[in-house]
Amino acid sequence: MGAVQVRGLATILLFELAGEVFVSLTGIPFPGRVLGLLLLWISLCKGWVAEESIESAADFLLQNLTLFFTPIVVGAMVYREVLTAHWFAISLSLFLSTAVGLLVTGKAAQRLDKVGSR
Amino acid sequence: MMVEFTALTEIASSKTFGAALTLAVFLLAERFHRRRPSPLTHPLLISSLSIILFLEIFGIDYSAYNEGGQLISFFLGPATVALALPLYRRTREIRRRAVMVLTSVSAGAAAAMVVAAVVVKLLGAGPRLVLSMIPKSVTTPIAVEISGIIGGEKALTGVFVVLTGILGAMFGPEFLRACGIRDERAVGLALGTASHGIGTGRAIKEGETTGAFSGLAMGLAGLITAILAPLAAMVFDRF
Repeated sequence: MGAVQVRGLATILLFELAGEVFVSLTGIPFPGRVLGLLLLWISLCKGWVAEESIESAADFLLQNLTLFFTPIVVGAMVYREVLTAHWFAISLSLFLSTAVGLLVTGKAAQRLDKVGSR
Repeated sequence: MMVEFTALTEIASSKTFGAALTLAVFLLAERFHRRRPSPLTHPLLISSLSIILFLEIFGIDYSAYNEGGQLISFFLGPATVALALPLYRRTREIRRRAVMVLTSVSAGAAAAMVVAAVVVKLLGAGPRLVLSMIPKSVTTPIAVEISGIIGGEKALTGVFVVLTGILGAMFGPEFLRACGIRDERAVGLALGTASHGIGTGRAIKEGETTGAFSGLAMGLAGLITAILAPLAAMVFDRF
């Protein structure tokens, strides 16, 4: 890791911390990290944070997202009983919700796109 | 025998063990995925199943493994914040089509959330499972955070997120075409909203526009779900 990446990571961690602190002070039911994301997005748009200063750290984090997530999915082993007891409900729910989510988004986007280009 | 067992437990509870095991298995899973590219060989699925199998065989508790696992999942926090960068890069696109993008992504994210929770609820699942189901359509780091906040189980949500992504990536574009949705932007937005990063991986293969809109939808759907999920959780708590 070079100095640029360290600085980028520090910036990103500061935004995460800001989000977490705000959430714990106000008690709003919103993920602090997502608030940190919003704050960073705004700061980038306003030019308070330069894209180049966080680019390489952010790319590193985003490219390895799947790796960071692995230990959490391994945690499913603790819930094996719940998963096997409700496998049918879970499968049906996953199939239907994915299909409905795709269909609603796609149909809405296609219709609104036509309205917009008319 | 007893000596060996104690030694194993001691090694397994060290931070190095969980971290090293995760990294090694993940690298192998990635290599396997490159050799046989398919949503079913997604590295997250293969690596977590392999680690579970390993831990089961050697009788190692999840909590022992997670001493080191935590070191790796810690990075999910900053990685979530880093999602600001791809969104920033598409800010202009969002502004230009604000109504279309925001309306379709919000509608799709809300619909997926409600259907997911209602189906498990109707089929007799307890509140913990219902709450874990609510945020499962969005990108992994955001979904897991939401799950923790509304009272779900992070690991269960994690599994549902991965399976949702795999479903969307395997059948999404074909399903959309069968339903008469062919517009590249619409397909991209749908894949990103309903099946997050794994769906976006497939969208990128469909084309550049599809991929860009999918990535955009993935980020926005995460934000919108973070706002809507606590409300949905309150409603489901009442019934």
